[in-house]
Amino acid sequence: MVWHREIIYTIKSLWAMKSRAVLSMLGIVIGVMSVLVVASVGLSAQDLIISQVTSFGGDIIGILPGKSEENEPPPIAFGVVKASLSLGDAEALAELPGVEAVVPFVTATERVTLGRKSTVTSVNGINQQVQILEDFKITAGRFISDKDVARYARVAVVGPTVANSLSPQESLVGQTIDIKNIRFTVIGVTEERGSAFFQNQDDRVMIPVTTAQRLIAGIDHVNYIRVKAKEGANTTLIKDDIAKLLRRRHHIQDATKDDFSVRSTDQAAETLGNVTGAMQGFLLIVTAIALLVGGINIMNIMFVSVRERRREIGLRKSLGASNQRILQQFLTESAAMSLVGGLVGAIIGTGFSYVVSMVVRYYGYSWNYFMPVSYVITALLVAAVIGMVSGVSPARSASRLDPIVALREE
Amino acid sequence: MLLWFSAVKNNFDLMEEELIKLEGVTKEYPQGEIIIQALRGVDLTIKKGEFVAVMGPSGCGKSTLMHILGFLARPTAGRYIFAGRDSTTYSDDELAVVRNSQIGFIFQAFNLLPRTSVLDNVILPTNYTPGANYEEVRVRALQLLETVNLTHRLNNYPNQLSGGEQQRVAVARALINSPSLILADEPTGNLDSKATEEIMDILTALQRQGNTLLMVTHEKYLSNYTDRVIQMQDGQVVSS
Repeated sequence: MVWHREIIYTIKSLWAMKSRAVLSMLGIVIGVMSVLVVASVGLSAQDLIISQVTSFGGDIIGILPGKSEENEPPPIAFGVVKASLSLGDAEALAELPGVEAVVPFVTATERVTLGRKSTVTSVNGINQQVQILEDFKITAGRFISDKDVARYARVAVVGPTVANSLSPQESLVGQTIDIKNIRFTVIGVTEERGSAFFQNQDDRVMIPVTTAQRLIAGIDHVNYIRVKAKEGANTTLIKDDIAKLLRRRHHIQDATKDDFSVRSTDQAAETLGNVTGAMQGFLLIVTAIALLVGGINIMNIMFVSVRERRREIGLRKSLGASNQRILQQFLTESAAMSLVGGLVGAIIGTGFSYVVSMVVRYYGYSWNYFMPVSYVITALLVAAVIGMVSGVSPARSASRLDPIVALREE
Repeated sequence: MLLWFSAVKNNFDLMEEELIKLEGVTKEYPQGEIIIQALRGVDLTIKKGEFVAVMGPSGCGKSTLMHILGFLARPTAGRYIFAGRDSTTYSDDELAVVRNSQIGFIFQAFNLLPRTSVLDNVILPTNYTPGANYEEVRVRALQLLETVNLTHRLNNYPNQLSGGEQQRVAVARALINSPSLILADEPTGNLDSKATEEIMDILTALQRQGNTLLMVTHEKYLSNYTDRVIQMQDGQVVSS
């Protein structure tokens, strides 16, 4: 048998109706492309979430105001502000065993000015232990001390992004900046960190938490508290201890009436992972439908092709082609179409998700590019199978043609 | 596959004097409610090496006769003995093998594959011949194209050829598997008189080389090239 001649003939007859073949392949192209893009972007998103949440190293426990169930978002996510956490809570938590650092946070977004230059950035009221919690270094000057917190000092430590936009030439350390028209002395600049917890660590100003409460936010409570457990400590136990301590301090007997929620980072990672996983699953179903529609497209075109080539089928039969050979011929054609469509889709999909990763990285996220070979191969196999399956019915109708009737066709 | 193919192919006794013998062959087609009787009890014998013309008005059953002789259709009743073997009980796949190895078709409309070179068109039937060796087949195709004077057209496509040239390609294609019977369905129906003469010369030359030919035609003068004429009317042979 002269197989390669048949394959050349297949390519030639597809080429002869190329605009139509391209149109019918388009469905498969788009299907394979979108499946791969969704899969790749999904992997990158999961990776980003995990790297963001674990970027401080070790397990971080967050205490948020307001009650919420373990698997629900805290009230603050809906914009509900509760004033149930205080500086005293943070001080008491520091006494618990297994706790390495406790940081109360007071956050605000404010305009920061130096002379004629200004920038809008997030202002974080914190204490000295934030350096242990977030594990960063000071590149110039010093960090905020316990004394600064006790004295309500008007001192600030700025991130490199803020430092660059306010004073690109000379060091900002020792200069006086205005935050909400209140003068602060810059005592230090932090190292470059990128982002963590979906927050740009370089674009912020840190001031003593007490100063932030009184002069910037004008509140007595704190927005949230973060706790870092000691290396090897049992976080579940610490979370229980935290909850018990806070209940005692807030005079709560019944755990269902809590006015705070205790969360750990691995829990947050899991919740976020579930959300993105569900999203990805949904998108994969949608794109799989696109692939299926692509298959139906090919079936349609193959039916037209069989109709138009009845004479050829009749001729081949009269020259001795068995029904099975005619079946094979048309199956080869539809499989070739969807395989070529799949290849093109895989190339575009791979390229497109690469471009997406470049764009996201341009905006400052550590977005890694993933395109596992197994995904590409699976998508191609699925495309080829869809092509074969959608070719079956037209190919059968071709193989069953009566050669006499087919030859009489004009 | 190869073994089965040769078993079917070698089933015939090609030394048999009578290549074709039809005994009381009828063919009926259902057409809607009614049944059309295309052939009504045809008895016919064609000897090896004969060149026979089949003539008759349209609808007389001559096309149906040719389809049955070419194994494209089975008789509704009666027996078709080809080279000493009764072929009436052959399966679809066996009929395909017999067509491939024993029959060479020449059509009025040439029926060459478009976008396929002259050489590949001649080779086409061997695609369905298990065990065909491409080099051997190519050499034979080149020889056949030489005998029909088309050596200079090997790599042309059918749409670049004249009608006469296309029919000569079709003749070469019919001969590629050295068939026992060549069936020509109005082979000159689409040709001018000069091309008609060329084709008829080639067909008579084939007979001189020992081939058996059957030609369906409307043109009375073409019967001058043949040994005898089978005249048909209303699904029956009226003279032969």
